[in-house]
Amino acid sequence: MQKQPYVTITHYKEREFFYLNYAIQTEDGFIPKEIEQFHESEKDKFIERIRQLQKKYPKHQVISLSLTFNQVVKDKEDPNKACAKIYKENYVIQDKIDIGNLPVTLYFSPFALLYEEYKDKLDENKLTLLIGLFDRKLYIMFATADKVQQSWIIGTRGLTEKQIADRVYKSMKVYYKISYKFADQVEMLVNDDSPKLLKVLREELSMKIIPTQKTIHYLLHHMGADQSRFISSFIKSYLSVSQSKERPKEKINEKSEDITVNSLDDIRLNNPVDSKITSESSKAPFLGKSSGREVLDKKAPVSLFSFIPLLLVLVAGGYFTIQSKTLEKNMNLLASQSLAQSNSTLLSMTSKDVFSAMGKNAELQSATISTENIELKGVVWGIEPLRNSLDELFSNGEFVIKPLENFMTEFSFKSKI
Amino acid sequence: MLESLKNQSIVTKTLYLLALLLFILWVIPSMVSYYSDMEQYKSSQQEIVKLASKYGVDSQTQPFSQEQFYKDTDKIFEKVTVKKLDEKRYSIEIKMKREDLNSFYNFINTLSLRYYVQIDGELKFKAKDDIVNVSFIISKL
Repeated sequence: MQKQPYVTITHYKEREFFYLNYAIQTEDGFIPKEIEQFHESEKDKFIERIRQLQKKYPKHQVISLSLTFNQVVKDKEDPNKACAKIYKENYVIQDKIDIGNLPVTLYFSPFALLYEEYKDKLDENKLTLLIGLFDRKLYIMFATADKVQQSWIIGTRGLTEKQIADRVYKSMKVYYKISYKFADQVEMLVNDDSPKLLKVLREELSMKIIPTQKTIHYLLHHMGADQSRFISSFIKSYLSVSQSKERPKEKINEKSEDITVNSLDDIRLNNPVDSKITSESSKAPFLGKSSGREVLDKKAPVSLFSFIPLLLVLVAGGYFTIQSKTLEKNMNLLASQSLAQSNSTLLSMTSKDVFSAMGKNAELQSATISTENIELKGVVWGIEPLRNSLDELFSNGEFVIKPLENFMTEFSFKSKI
Repeated sequence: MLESLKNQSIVTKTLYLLALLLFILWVIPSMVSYYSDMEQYKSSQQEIVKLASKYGVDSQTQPFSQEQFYKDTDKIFEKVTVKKLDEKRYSIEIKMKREDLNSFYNFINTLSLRYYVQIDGELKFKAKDDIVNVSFIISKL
């Protein structure tokens, strides 16, 4: 009977795509298959594909990478959080395993991948700055052979290469303030070719950096290849921490039957629903004694959200400015209307008074009445009563009479109001 | 929250600061001015409504329209002529019987309550026997 192959199925999510790959593990290394890509809207199809592979290859590990911001390297295990041991004295700790409903049996931190990649190059007396660039985040560790001295994560989304390099340099300066040491060498692990970033990093740090370019799938297949490699370094929920401690460290190829048992076996841990990536603005604490000190890690890049308060203020200010102008226009109209109404009333009253003053003593032939003066002209029969009436209404007026040929008398009257 | 703000980039912090300054120096004064003017406006409007009610004008003041004005006044007086002088000004000539003078006084009284207009200058009366002609110019507010 043919021996069933051991297969590592690897997947991770970057931006809106899931990337899936599997590799047949052999004594001479692994043989990767073609990478499959699924849009996040095809999540069900993506999960179904993993299930197919799991069914097809009963001896398998489904391996993924934790790309969240909320993971830190500490020198003590936290029994209440998900953690994985890296180095002799260090643990990567994150609040929970954020995989949602995706099938995963081994879940690694980029810090674990960095350690695995460079552990043989580390020196007890030389400080090495390890930088891993995954999903637009820089996972940084200052490490010696025995332990991680300092670590943090820097978000690079929306930043230029120069800004990223500047932040890496600042992180070095901060570390110098703590330990009075600069890194003796820099190692960089990238999954995409980033020559521009590398160039500015070299300029900014004034150091020689030779990057290692490996795909995430490659790194994960490598991690999953050997049980002794991953047995302690995959992230376990706090529920499985105690169990995993008791597991024997054995070679996969020798005891491949145990692989599934020793893995997380489709972990749906702590909080399966909450698969959101932690806010990039959250702070990554420093290690051990340096916790609480100046934190320069992952300053959030300028996002559209930064403009929201300004936008709201502009909208509110614009709204009230427009409303004020409209109101001002209406108020001016109302003021003009009030003034026009007062003048109209005055004209109406004056006209009424003038016609009333004529009574039976005169007949008005023409009148010009404004709010400032009046001019009247007509025929008068009772001169004195008319004069008196007009004088009562308009003092200091000029009353003139003129006899006409037909034995009638014309009057004219001018006055200011 | 302060901790989260501390971790923001300098550009983000500058944007927040700018938003705060604009809010204090621009939005708040605009709001205060708006609400205070609104009070004043409502009070003035109330006075106009009261006055309109006193003179029996139950409709809202409307922008001047030659056709509407003619329609409203032609049924009160013997004859009404409206001539457009320019964009804003109109010449009005009204012919009425002497006994309709009271209607005319009331009409003048309520003119600016019915339409957004004002009387420019003077009223010119010509009277002969029982007929009174009056002409005047109005302009839109």
